This record gives sequence, structure tokens and C-alpha cells, in this order.
Amino acid sequence: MSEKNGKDATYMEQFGAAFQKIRQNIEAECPEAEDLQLYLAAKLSGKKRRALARHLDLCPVCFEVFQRLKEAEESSHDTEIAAAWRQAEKDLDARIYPWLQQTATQHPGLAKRIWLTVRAAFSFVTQPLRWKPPMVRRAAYAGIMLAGLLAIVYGYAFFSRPPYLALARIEPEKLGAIRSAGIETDVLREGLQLLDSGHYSEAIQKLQIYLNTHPDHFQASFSLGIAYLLDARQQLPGLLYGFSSEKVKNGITWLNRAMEQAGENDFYLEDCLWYLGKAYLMLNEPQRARSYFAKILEIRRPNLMRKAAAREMLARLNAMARL
Amino acid sequence: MDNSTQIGNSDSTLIQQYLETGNNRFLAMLYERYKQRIFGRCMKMVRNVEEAKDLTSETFMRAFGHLSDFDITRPFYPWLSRIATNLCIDHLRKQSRQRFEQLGEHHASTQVEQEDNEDQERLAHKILNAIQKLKQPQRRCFCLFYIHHLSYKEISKITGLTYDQVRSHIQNGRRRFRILMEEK
Repeated sequence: MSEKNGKDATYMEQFGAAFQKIRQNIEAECPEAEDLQLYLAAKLSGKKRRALARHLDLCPVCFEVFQRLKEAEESSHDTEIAAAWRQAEKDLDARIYPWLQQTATQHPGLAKRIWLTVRAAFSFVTQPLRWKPPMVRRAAYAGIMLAGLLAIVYGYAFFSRPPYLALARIEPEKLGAIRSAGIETDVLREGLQLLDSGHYSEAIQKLQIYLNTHPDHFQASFSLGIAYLLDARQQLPGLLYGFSSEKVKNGITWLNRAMEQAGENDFYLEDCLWYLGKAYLMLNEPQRARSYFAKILEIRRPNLMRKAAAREMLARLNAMARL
Repeated sequence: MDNSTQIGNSDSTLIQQYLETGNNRFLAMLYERYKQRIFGRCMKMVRNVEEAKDLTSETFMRAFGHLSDFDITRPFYPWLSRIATNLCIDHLRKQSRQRFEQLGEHHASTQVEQEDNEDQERLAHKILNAIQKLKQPQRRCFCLFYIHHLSYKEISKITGLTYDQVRSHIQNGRRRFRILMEEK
């Protein structure tokens, strides 16, 4: 038996160099301290976990350290540690406090503070549940974000508003000829009633239905144009308002059609020209608007009040152009 | 439970205040809050008061030096404890490696001349494969004895097996290893 063992030992000796190489390889493969912790917590992915398990079999250094780590997780030597702590606390304080004073860091610069605030605000948005800052800070961040949002919306509305805002305004009660009384067709009457009562988008639907069957009806075309212009106004909470150019363009199309249908009727023509002028003001095209108002002055038998209004409008537009 | 959960005085608030003002008072508060727990953690790992003191102070210095890397949306203590544990692991590993090197040199008969050629590489690979096929704890005892040149006594200390168990594992392992090497 011993002779056989001796033979075995001689057999093993021929691998000396290879063993030494293996040993060097094992030492070079020692994992990061972090990975040992993750391995113990079973948080390593499959491939890494298997490699580390294999390494622990081969490397006594890591095996020993890992055993110690495992024991530290499981054991509690609280009384011994408490005794050691009494002895160590003063020493530790004597090291840390002077160090803290020595390394008193400089006050961070403005750029860094802005960056920290932005980062904090960002993490407040992305991870509100994990981080619980004081309520005052939360309210401040929420306030800043709300103010920013409002600034964007109102800023956009302010800079995109037409400058002829006040002149472009249509007042529904002064629409003149458009009244629902005396109209016999149900759909048209309902449409005009809706327009009168300020339900513009519903009025548009009704009038369009009517115009499908009566494409040549002046009053319907004209009212649809007006309904589009009234519907185009977009009011924001607060003072500002603007116009949806898409709707204004629809309104212009229908008013042009109404003008064709007005024929020789000067009252109808006058109304169409007036509101077309307003529509171009909404679109911020004062030159074209002016041409429509000027046409009102050329009408042979005008409504005198409308003529005076057109003259005044032209005067104001000229004044604004000079500014 | 402890101060860290109180609103207005939480860890993340202290860290943020420190980062904003640069005032070390906030670091001192964090240190006071966790020094005992970190020391306990180090003591459990290294089991030596002096070393635990060194590692604890090293932990705080390192953590405070890298506070700007810390994600304040996460809890502070686990991060601090991880730093402490990493330092302890590195420290223990250094100690352990030195010790094994001394032991290995003491026991290794002669340092074999290294020949860096492909045959050597292939042989090492073959040996490793054979070792992988040994069963535990035979494999561990075999490696410690042949690769790391430790004595039976030292192996029994590391693995927690008795002297006789270690001896028998090594003898059986050697027999099995020979069979596995001759198989291919």
C-alpha cells in the first residue's frame, strides 16, 4: 500500500510546473470584494455565480474570506463587540474629528449647486416613493414645475397672438341680419339658434348638414362662416386669447361662398365684406383686411352705420400701420 | 426607531445639506449616527479591535470622500456597510494571502522552472478539468494540498475536517485524479 502511495507521489511530482501555473491563474482570478458580497446575498447572475463558486473551490484565500463573511452575517457577538466598542470609541473619535476639520471642503460653486438642485428635482419626479424630502421642499419643487409649465403655455400664447386682436373681435349680439326668427326649416333654425346661444361647434354641425341639401342658401353659408370665426377664438384661463387659423380659414371659405350667393343684395354683401375683413385680421393679414373694409365704402347703397364703422376701422388700421 | 427616520433630519437630508453648504457638521452627525454599527460590522469580520478601528475610520473617510457619488434616493447605511465590508474583505484577503504564501513556500519542495509553452498550458487545462470532476470535499483538500502546498494540519484547520478525514480525502482524491487523467 505504502509502495503504491509512493508511486502515486512520484506520479504527482511530474505535474509540479502545471500546478504552479494553475495556482498563479487562480490568484489572478480572485473576484472583487463586492462580488463576494453579492454572491452571499444570492444576487449574482448565472454565469458569474458559477465562475465564483468554482473559484471558491480552488482558492483557499477567497474561501477563507468568504467563510468569515458568512459567519459575520450569521453571528452576533454583541456583548464582546460592545466591550470592544467602549475601548475603541475614543480612539476612533480622535482620528475622525481632526480629519473632518482638516478636510473641511469648500463651499460648492454655483454651477454645482444648480446641478444638485436639478438632480434632486429629477429624482423627485422619477423616484418620489423612495426619497422622502420634507414637505416644504416637495411643495417648492412642485411649485417650480407648475410655474415652468404655465410660463411655457402663456409664453407661447403671448408671442403667437395676432397684434390686431382687439379689432378682430366679433361680438355675437351685433351680427345683424342673422336671426333665427321666421326660418321654417327645422335643421337651419336649430343651427341658427345654437349659433345665437353660443354653441358654435354644434351650430357648425347643424349648418353643414343643412348645406349638404341646400348648397345655395345664403343665410346658411354666411352663418356657417360666422360660426367658424366665433369658434376659432381660443380663450385661455386668464386674459389672453388667440385664434385657430384652421377654423378661420374655413370661415373665410364659407363667407366667400356666401358673398357669391349674395348677388346684388348690398346688405348681404356688406355683411360678408365686414366679416371677411375681420377674418383676415384674425389671420394677422391687415393688408387684405383693409381691402375688404375699403370695398364697403364703395357700395352704392350702404347701411350708413356699417359704412361709418368701416371708415373708423380703416382709420385705426392706418394708425396702427404708422406705429 | 432611530434618528435616521425622522423627517428633516434624515440621512439624505444631512447629505444634501452637506453637499449644498459644505459644512462638516452634517458629516459629524452621520458619523455619530453610524460609527458604532460600522465598528461592529468590522469587528465581526476581522475580530481584532485595532484592525477594526483602522477599518472603521478608513470606511468613513472613504465614504465621506465619495459622497457626491452616493445616490441620495437610496438608503445610506447599506451603502456605508458595503464599503466597510469591502474594505474588510480586502484586508482579510491580504492577510490570508500572505499567510498562505509563507506556508506554501515553506512546504513547496522546490520551485519548478516555469516553461511557458502550449504543452504546459494544455496540461494545466487537463488537470483543471480532472479536478473539477472530483467530488467535494475531496476536491478542496486535493487543491489545498497539491496546488497550494498546505499541510494536512492546515487543511484541517481551514476546512473544519479532522486530520484523518483530510488524509483520506487526499489519498482517495489522488487515486481518482490519476484515473481521470489516464482516461483521456
